[in-house]
Amino acid sequence: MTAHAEMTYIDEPGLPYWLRRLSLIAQGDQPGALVDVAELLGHATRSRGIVLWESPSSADSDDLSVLTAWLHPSVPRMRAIPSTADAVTREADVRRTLALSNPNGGSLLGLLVDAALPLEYADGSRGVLTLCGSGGLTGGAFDTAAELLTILPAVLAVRRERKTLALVNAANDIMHEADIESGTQPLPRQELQAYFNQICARLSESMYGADVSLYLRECDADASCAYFAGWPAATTNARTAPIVVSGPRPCSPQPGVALIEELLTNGTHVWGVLRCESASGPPAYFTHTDLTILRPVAAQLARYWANWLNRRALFEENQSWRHLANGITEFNQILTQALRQDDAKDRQPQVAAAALRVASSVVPTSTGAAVYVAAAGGKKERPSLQLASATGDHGVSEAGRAQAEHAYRSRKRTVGHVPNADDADGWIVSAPIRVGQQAYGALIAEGPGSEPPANSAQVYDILSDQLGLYRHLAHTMDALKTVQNEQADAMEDLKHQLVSPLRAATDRTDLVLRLGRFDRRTQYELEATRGLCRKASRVAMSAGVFATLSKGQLPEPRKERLGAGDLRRMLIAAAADCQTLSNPEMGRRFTVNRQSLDTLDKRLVQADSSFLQQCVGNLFDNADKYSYPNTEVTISATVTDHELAINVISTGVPVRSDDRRRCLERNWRGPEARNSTGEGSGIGLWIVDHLMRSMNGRVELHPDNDTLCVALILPTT
Amino acid sequence: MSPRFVIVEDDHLQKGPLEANLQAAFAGAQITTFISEHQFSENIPTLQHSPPDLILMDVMLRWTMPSPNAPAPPTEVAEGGYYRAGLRCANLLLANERLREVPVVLYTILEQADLERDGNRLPANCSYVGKSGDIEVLLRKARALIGEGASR
Repeated sequence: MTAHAEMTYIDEPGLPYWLRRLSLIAQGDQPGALVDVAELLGHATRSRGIVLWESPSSADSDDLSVLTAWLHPSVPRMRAIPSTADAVTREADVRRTLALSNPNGGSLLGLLVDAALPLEYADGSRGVLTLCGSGGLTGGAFDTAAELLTILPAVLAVRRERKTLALVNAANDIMHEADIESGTQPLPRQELQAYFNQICARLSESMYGADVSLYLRECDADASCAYFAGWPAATTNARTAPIVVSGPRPCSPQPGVALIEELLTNGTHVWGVLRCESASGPPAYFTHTDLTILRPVAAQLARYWANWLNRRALFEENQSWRHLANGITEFNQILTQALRQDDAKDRQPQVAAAALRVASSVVPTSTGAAVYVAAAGGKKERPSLQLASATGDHGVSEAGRAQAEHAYRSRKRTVGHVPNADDADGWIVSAPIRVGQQAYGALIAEGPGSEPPANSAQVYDILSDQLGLYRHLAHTMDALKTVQNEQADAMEDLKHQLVSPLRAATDRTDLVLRLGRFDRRTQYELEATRGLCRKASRVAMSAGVFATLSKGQLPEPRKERLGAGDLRRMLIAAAADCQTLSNPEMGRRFTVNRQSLDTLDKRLVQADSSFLQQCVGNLFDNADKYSYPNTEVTISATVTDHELAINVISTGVPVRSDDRRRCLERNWRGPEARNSTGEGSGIGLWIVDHLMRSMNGRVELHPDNDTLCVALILPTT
Repeated sequence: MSPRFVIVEDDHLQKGPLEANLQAAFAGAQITTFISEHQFSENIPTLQHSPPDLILMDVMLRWTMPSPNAPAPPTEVAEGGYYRAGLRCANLLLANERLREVPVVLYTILEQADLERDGNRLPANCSYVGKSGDIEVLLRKARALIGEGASR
């Protein structure tokens, strides 16, 4: 109560001191508290004690609360602020009329209560002014007090509004400073706490030095709020306990308790609670009026908090996309390098580990991740998933493998819940590693919380797609390389078959020329040279057919009609050539059953003679290549009503019955052939098959232990 | 002293003229011919006992001739196939203390680039002569490798 001594009053002689002071307060030119108004009322009514009350706001509460209290300096200090109203005050409140001292009237502030006047504040709330210790109000004092009461609500409202406005402006300034500090990014949490602490400090000043605490939550799913900021900054037990946001807030004073709260709301979202407690007073208790001060600040804090959360979410999302972009770039480089290696398909574990490294950097809150890949079993077995790589202190949970299986089988990404190691809630994402409908495995990731972080599921989608693409590319490249190698092998084999007879023919011609005479040896050498030239010609034709078939085209036969005589000559010439070129040390004999063709009689077959020569020559070459020493290769014909079969029967490296069809596939050679002589590229019968089919015929293999009958079948006309 | 040659050639049509050409070029030449990879590898101990002056090695070479009792190929032969059998034989010589100095001429229809496909290099004891060239090229290479004095 020393403030008035420092005030500068309007220099209006004749105006009472209290009136000049009231004028200053109303104009808001001077600082001051509600207690100053009470002091003025005391001076005006010559009272020694003044108590300003606020009526209870609801039927649930029946006691008045002290707004402020003043004592004349002459009254001994240390009087207790009243916690309950006296009978005169209650009477004025209930009846809403002036109540004067009566025999039952009590005392307040250690003074006798003289009178109590009901009043109505500008915000609609009601109250009572209690005058004490005047020794009985004189007529003039009473009139003055009554007059004052007509202007007091307006004065109080102005004061409150100005106080609220100052507080809101101060909070605005602090938040503006925070905005400048934050720039384009959200403030770090600790710095935001510091700014909110400042706002709480300003609020504390306005709320009689109360302890101010701000409790916040980050999403609607959180049932309670945690302490975030406050003033004084030192924590108390109450600040460590979470605050439930639902339910009624304490907003009316209770005897012995000084606590008011206001929810931080923004639209329909409740973001937290702003709490004031333990006002160091006077008045020591909060009122509804104080809530009107608290409310705009709470709204400001709610807006800023919601905005900060939004900015943080956007920033984190941007960061996560940036991390993902960097991660994908890095991962693509790894994939490119891996694909350049010869063993790209075998690098799956390294590639999987790289994918998990990227996943871990983009979604740092995940606690474990793993890549499972399908391991090929037998032809009829269902592929099983095997762990290719894993990360995390605990890896992935048992449920992870089941999720991987599900994603792999369903080829769909799933997001589920799984308790983590501490039995707390956890999320799990499983994304299939696939290309189109071809699945190769699954990528699994786990982390704490009820939901995976924003965008993380898409991150795992992208990574698993990348893995699928890599796997597909590696397989394709592997297959391509196999085809290239097979093609190169086939070309080498053709070259071998083509050049070898030409080399031999050249050498033999040289020998004949060197001998300079014509005898039986010369004749043999010339016949061998002729056979070699025919063979070279046939191989050259095979190369042409091979090229045609490799382009996806089919050879086109000429339409010739061949009779028994034509076929007989063709078979005998081919067998003679083969006999000539066969290694005499092996003792193989080529025999043509000439009579077997007689059954064809006058019937004809429609075929391309060069194609048929090619087929017969290939079969004879195979027979010479795979027959055992000292065996006979028999060539005969079988005629039925509509077909002619040219059968080449030999004894040698066996063909399995199951492999009859596979013998006609490109680049396929039976294990027995591979493991005995080892030569050949597996295109001879493939070419024969296509040539025969181009002539509406077919080739059939009939193995029987070491004996093999290969039949070239053509329709007769 | 008459040079001693080993020919590794599975094509009997080429083997005869090659032997005749060598006999004509190197008077009194002793020629031993192996007709499969298996036969060559089986005779390594014999060669070790009496190393030849030069080996003429075909590259695309059968493991063995067809026979009911043909020996099964070792894993590397079964997997590698016949395309580079001559190189395997050359490496067998390289790995042998007494045979690693014997010069080997890879006499093949393949190009040298084919043999060096996938970054492979010819074994250190090998030189290359293509079969599609004149026989004189081979004979000149043989003379150079065994010494001019050995030829007539």
